Amino acid sequence: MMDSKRRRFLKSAAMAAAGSLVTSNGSLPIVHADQAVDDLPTGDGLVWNKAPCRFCGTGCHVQVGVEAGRVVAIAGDKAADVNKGLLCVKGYHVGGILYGKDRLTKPLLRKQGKLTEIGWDEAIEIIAQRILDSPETFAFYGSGQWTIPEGYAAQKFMKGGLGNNHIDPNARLCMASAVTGFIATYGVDEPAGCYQDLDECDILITWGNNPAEMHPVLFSRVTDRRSRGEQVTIIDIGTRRTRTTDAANEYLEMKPHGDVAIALGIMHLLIENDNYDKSFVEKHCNFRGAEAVKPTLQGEQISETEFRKRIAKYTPGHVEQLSGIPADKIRMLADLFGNPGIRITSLWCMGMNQHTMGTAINSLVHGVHLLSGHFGRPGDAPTSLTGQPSACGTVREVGTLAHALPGGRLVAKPEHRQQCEGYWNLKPGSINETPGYHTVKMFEQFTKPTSEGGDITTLFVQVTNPGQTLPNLNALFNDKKNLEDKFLIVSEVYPTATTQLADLILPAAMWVEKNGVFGNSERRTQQWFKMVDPPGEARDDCWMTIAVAHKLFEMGHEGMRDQDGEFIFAVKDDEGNEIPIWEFEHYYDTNVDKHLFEEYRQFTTMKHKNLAPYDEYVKARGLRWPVVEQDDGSWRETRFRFAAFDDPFVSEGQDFDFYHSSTEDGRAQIWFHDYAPPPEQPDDEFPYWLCTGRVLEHWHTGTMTRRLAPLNRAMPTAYVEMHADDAKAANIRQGETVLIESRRGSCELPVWIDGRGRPPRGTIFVPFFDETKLINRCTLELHDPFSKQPDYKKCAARVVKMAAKSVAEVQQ
Amino acid sequence: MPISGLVITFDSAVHDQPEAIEFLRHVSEIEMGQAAGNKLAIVIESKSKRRDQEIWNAIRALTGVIDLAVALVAFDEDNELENNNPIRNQT
Repeated sequence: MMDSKRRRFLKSAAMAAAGSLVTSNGSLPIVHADQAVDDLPTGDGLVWNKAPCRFCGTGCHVQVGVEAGRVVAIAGDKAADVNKGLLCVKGYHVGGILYGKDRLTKPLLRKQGKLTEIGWDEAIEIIAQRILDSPETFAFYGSGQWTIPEGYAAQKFMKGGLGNNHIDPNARLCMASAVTGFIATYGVDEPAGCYQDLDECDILITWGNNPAEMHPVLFSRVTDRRSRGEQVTIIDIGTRRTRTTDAANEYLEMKPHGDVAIALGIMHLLIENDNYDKSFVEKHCNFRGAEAVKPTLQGEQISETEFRKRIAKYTPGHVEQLSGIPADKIRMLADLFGNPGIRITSLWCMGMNQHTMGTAINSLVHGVHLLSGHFGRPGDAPTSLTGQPSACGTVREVGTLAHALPGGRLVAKPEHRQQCEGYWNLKPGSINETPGYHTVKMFEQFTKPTSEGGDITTLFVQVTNPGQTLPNLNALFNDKKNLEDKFLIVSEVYPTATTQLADLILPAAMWVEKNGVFGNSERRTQQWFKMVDPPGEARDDCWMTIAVAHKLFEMGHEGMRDQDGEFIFAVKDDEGNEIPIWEFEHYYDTNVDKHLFEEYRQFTTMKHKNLAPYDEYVKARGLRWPVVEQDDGSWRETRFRFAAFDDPFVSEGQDFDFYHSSTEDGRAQIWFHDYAPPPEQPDDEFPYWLCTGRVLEHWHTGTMTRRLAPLNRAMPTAYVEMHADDAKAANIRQGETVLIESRRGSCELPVWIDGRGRPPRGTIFVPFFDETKLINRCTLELHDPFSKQPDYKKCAARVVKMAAKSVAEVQQ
Repeated sequence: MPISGLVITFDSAVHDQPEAIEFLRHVSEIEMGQAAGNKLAIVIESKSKRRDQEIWNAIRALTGVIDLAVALVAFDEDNELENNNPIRNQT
């Protein structure tokens, strides 16, 4: 309990922090990355330090107050440009995630079905032995919650050390289509703009996106402008009304998959009305279509005439049929994009990414902006958001995907493999040329019996919870329980749906219990230091990877040696002596993160994603890449890529330069993709569209936020949102428990009619945060052909009154 | 016993919100601070996180309130909900 002196102390600090945010005539303060935070209380052993929030991809910075080895206070960091001192309800509680009562504190091995405590030495030996016995059937599954050094170490261990490309992240499930959309359009991943676009746009279009709940601090940058009297029009395009709709000037309710038709319809009218930006298109763009046979992200060049021909059928009337959006609203959108005098930002996240046409819709929305010239000025931007704190930094930049290498390199390209082998000082040919299994395939192969070709036998999961997040859980995860030769290793903080089937559980350190570096949605790389010790024997994920690698080195695995015979993760002190970082008691004898980051940094220049030295990030609240050294030795970040006014890599004399163009001519690609209907649609047997997603109070699978009493009280259970008329027609009451069924599985849920989200008739929505109500038993594993990202936003389902089923039927 | 520093944003100037201000004055756990334009700084010092959340929800529901943001929060312990589901109790 706090003593009264400290309470007074913290109360005055709370008032000072809040008071400072209401100054500057009511607007949010302008802040600088190196600004000191000098009005937080110190003394009495209370020490503050910066860290990015642990939750979403926004990348808010917090100040973490530590006293006597425990996090006791959280403040919004006023020196952080992202959040300017503000936090959302989850960020407000982030310190508490460390202190759930059921933290995992010892390694646990399942013996005869029962979890038994073992020591770390035994745990590391078990993992190394399984890998040594069958290195090619080992797979590593991580996430966008891996820090950059953790992901880089995992990547080097797998692709460099083991010559095994079966490493993939859960980010495959949330933003892979954004990646393929950026690469198809610009030849390089990640947004050109930044959050400043939200401060300067006249129109904000949310495409299947609910930032009011999922990225509330970012959304408040827009609503704050309104509160100051600025005119910002919000147009919400979605399949159900949300809190974002409540703030929108215009709500356009589309049929599932309607976004593809809407984007095509806008482009059709821009061409038809001759009000696209001819100068921008002629100077900076090509037209592109998919190959007729074996389509690729490269596509094939098409003429403007051919583009006009293909898009001609997407008239407002036709788009209305496909999307459900009235033709006059399609014209309204096209008129807005046809107006060069306004600035338009498009924002999207899971709605466009979890989509069997995810790459297509991402490319088409970029195309709308390029065709109309609404690109490259502050406020004129197509921008995707991420749901995890380092989906960009660790997955997209480090390249912890089954086909990728660090620095935008690809395993399939010999010259890229050679480059990486050079940086890693490995024997030529060490890196395997065949892409590994993407997430869905990895789990298919793990849950398929070995005798039937299931060639993943040992799977190591770090910082994610696939037992709750995979689609079609019955097929992709739950089948593991009957396979004795399959071995699941899970590094976790709390017991989860995934640890339920784990054979070996490793207790992990989290967030400020370890050093870390994240990369947020606007290309901002953010560093923090360890502030408190993890509980019990919990240890860093990065250490686990290095410890397994060293055990393999000791066992004689040749891949764990570089060309000079040294351990691939060798770190030496100033005298040249190797520091035994594989022994946890020596792991913090040096800053392993810094060593790994500096090694990784070499890769970042190859795609002009240049990072500054580690120590620059220690000083800053993040820096947006490319970060380039100036003549005076300082480091300058980049807010707007490809535009000459801000991007140092734009060729001299150019106003725009897409310098990683897939056509190698400095141009971006405007794609045509034909609309195709969703692969599974409601029918007589399964008459509803099922959409899944998130809620404000819980972060993803709720493993952290469900341990926070205020958040859990505010949102204690998952539910199914239904339209009142659908419920009435089915004689279903508010709060009644029903059974949601699809062709793949079922889930019992209470009904919420006219709740926070309001789906239209024929649609139901279920959030996935609740580990006791696994809606992903019902979802569809079908995925986009390029990104391999599954579609969690639409499948066919039915709602069954519980009383209408026999007990035996329910149990099936 | 949480302490939180919050910023309330109203849809118009703070002095045009007499009903909301009156409400805030009558909640003993709330201390009002600086106001500028349509923003008002407050501190909540409550006996429990439950009470803190009740106050938070009540403020959000006030007419004229369009945003409630956190500037600082201090806490000493989290009274985690008891949870008997099998996933929590597997170890």
